[in-house]
Amino acid sequence: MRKLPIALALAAQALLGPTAMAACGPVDADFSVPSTLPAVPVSVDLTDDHVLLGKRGERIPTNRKLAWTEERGDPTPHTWADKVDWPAYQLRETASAAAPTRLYFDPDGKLCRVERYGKIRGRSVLESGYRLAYDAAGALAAYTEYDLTGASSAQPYAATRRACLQRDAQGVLTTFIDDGCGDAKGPGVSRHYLHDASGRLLRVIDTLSPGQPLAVQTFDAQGKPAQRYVQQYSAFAAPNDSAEPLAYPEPATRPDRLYPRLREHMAAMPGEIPGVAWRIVRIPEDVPMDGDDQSSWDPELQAVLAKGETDAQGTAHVTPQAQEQIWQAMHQHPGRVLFYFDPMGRVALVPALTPTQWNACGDPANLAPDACTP
Amino acid sequence: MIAIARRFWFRRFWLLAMASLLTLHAGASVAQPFDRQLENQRYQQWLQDFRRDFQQFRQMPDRENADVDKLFANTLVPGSRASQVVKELARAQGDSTHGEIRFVGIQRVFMAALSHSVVAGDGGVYAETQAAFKQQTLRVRYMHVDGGGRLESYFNNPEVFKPYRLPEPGVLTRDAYPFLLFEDTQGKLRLGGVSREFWDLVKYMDAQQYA
Repeated sequence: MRKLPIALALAAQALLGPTAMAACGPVDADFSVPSTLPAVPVSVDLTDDHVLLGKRGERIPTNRKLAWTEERGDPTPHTWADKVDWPAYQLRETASAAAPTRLYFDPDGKLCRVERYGKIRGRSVLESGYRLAYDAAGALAAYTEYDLTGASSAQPYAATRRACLQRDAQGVLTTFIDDGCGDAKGPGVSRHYLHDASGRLLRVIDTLSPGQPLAVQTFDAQGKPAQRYVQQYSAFAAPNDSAEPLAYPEPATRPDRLYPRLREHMAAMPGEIPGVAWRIVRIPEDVPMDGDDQSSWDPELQAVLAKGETDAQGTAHVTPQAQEQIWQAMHQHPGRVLFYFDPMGRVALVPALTPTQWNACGDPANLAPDACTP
Repeated sequence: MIAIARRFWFRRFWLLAMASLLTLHAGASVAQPFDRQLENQRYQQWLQDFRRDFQQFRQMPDRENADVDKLFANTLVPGSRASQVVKELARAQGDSTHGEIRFVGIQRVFMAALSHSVVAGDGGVYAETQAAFKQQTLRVRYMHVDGGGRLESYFNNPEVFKPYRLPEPGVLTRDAYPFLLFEDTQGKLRLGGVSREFWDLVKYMDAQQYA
């Protein structure tokens, strides 16, 4: 009886293990060891860009990455090699004409290995390739890219990219690691998918390395993309500003340079020239700010929130009452609160998140529904 | 002067394509399973033979008076639109150099389009309307042309493809996918026609050199 839980645990591990085998074998095995699967030679040379025939006749662009994510839009990883109708490219190899690429499929038709051949002194040489792995449900779990480094004859192929797709017990994608999967130092650029207990997607977090968020996309209750938060260097920097990039909610429209500002820094705004008129204004929602429309520059159409003259250091001082009013407007009217540091120059003020707030927002373990809006 | 000559030549071509293909409709035929692997191996064999025939043809001293039907007996349907296309190609300007820039002639662009193609599907028997071509039985073969990413704006142009999609097996649809017409007898392919969709793509590829 006591053995049963262990057996169950082993069975569960076999089902959910991160590098489930299928018939493809492990992705991190020595690439110079040939595959036992039958080779399918194809005419496509993967050195060049191609747009290949898809299974339904559609056009499938090749990519050096077998799985990748786009910065905006659909947050899930894209793949291409599984969409190509490879039989259309299959070659009958002869001794005189070697194929530039050989593919290896498991008995279920899953692509396990890609070999790219180049010509070195007239000889066909395996130069690079990929190994792919799938989980028990048949979904892509990992791929590793290999290159002929020529450094050592014992290990001629080095892994140049280790990507993986981690899923939870229900098979829902939780993490896409673009590179550095399984690295001792921790993974590199990754995308984390955060769901609540009911399976609803809450946030998608891009990290440069563990604990270093770069961008956070939030989703509303209907699953539609909501506010996006980014950490970027400001396009406008005054001499005394911190050199660190600040995180802020990204406005949907952004015709002006963005100037993220922490709440505690709202009292003194940096102008450039002493003794010039400054003002902070709000552009009403009905005034267009897209494209070439210049009407937002018309003072008649602007609601002034604060104004004054810069002091001897070129600083604009804002009263506590005005600070609070401006801070509220920056949240409620994204991209529409503008700081005129002189009558001819302006930047859009956006509310920066404190490091504590940003870490909470970009923490893949934080499932709080309001993680980015404390 | 060269530009005018080119344009004139294109117009002749365009008229030929218009007259021959624009008025035709989908051929009634029974849909059958399409083996892309087999069909592409057959296409590759045809392409290899056609390339060789074309090479010999280009090296002939008196191309304009050559007997195309005899020279291409293996790869073109005699008296078909395709043999007219090849005759026109023979008259077209070959590779040229303007300033320091070398341009590839339309013959080579056409050959490149064929080389970068795979057969994507079958569009049934082509319903011929012109009496001169009625005795030929030709099948529509939808062709996927690679282009390495440089042709995507063309395929995505709603003015050209409405929209780009592979039609159902056995069905001919215009403005959907480039196609070629092939005769398929005794297991051997011979080219019988080049669709307006395919030829316009060749012209686009040719024009890209000058862009």
